[in-house]
Amino acid sequence: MAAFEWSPLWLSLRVALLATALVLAAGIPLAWLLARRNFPGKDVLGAVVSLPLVLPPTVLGYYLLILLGNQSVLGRWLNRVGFPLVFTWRGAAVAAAVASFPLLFETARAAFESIDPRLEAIARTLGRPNLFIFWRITLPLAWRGILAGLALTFARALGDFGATLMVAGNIPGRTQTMSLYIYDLVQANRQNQANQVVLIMTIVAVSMLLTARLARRAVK
Amino acid sequence: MLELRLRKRLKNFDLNLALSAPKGITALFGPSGAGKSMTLACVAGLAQPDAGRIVLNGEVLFDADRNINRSPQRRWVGYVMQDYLLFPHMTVAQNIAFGLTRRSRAEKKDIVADALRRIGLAGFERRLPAELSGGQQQRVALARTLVTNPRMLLLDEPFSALDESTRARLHRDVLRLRAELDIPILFVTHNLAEAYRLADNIAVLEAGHLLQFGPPETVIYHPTSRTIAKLTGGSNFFKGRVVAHSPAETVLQVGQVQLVAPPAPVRAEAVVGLSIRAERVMLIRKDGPGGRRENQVQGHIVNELTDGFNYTLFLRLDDGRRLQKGGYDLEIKLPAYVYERLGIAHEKRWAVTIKRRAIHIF
Repeated sequence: MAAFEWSPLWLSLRVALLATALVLAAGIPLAWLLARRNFPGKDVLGAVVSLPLVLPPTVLGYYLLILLGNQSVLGRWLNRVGFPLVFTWRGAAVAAAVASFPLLFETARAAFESIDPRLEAIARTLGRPNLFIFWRITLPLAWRGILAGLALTFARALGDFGATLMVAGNIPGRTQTMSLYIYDLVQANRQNQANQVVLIMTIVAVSMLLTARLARRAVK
Repeated sequence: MLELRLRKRLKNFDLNLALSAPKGITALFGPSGAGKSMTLACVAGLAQPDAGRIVLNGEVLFDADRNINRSPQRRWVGYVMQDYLLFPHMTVAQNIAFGLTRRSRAEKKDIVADALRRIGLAGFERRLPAELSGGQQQRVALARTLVTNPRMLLLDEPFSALDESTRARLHRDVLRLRAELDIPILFVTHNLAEAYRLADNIAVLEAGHLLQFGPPETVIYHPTSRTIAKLTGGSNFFKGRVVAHSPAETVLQVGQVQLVAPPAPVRAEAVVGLSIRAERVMLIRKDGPGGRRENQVQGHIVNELTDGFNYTLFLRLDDGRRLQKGGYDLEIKLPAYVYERLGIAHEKRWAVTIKRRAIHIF
């Protein structure tokens, strides 16, 4: 029995971590903005960032491929500065990030909305700058919701197949993540190795789900 | 001194208000939805008026014409709301220290300990807000604001969620604060007794407008309109015709009864509104000295209500000399001990005198 490759697991973890970091960096400010501010186009923006939840992953990946590939201005610019995304592991991370973005965004937004805005208002009358208030009042009161969203985001990013395949391809040792590896193993009729990989993925996914549930429950 | 003039379009009405609040307590009194809380939010900088100007001790906080709108952080206006709004994830000490900037850890600790001693909660530093009673939470909320040395204080129904004895204690705290602080305090309430007890001035608001501004006695005993009389707990509203008027008195024909009222700027034959304060109608003791009293009428009690401390009697006048049509003419309020001493439980026919001071014409 041939042992399975470990490299897809490390790659998957790397992709999922980078994706989660990207989602965190973009998702928290956006979630706060939509929870607290009113501006024209707010509803449209909220719908667009939640779109990855309902779009088929391959369709999403196709959009990203067009946007980041050589056909677009952005893609050509990325190539020029020596940071191509298409067919790289970073591209896989971007694809996984976009696909899992709504999971953090929605939970963080709900967490922000559940905070009485008058707490922040009172804090402002006490003379503290808005950023300080965000760090000391808003985030601490929302962090459990955010943590739950992060766990789901990480699990989703770890398991992405369609979007990653479209953007980064399935290059063993370079962009072949666990999900893609499983597909290859099954195609090659290597049932035993597939079983092991599936087991690992299941354990990771279930533990992420448990983390999310624990974080959520502690909110109540 | 706070001077404000503001206009703001709200959902159901327009807030349109001009007000000067000197040092001491100014109560904003009125029904809910009169714009009281929105006025406070505008002063604190948490809401922006459409037009107007807000000046505190000569410093312009807001001026629509000159495009000045200071952030809440730079207004130093203390704000305390009905539901305390302590930061739930912070200890009492962290809550109080929240607005203390540029102070060393040791200084903060001293200030917090001192503030807690002053509100009678020494040693409560490490408690969480959820572990405190409502009254304790409200005192911490006050302390959290006061340690920042605010230039004025906004209190938005701060005691309405508390029970009677806690409220009485906090009333004493507020009166002590007024004496110590020497800053304007705007106090929103819809509780007339509270406004009367605490305020140096009462501003009566309705639907975004200022109806009357003045010391509590003036607002309650000389309301300038029926609306104000209603808001300040007045009862016994009538229409009357001016029969005669002089610098000494006004004589009104109300129903079949002539009443002598205080002088008022009215024309002869004019129809005016009047109210008679229910607690100023006096029953005449049957064993007292004889002789007719001022505005004496005769009637019998057709109904009575009590809350255990006070009685409200409904008197219907006799002999066809009525003030109005309907089941009764006059509402009379008196304390329970008077009710008992006069034996009203067994005696329903009474002569009453309506002191002219009890009559307000508007």
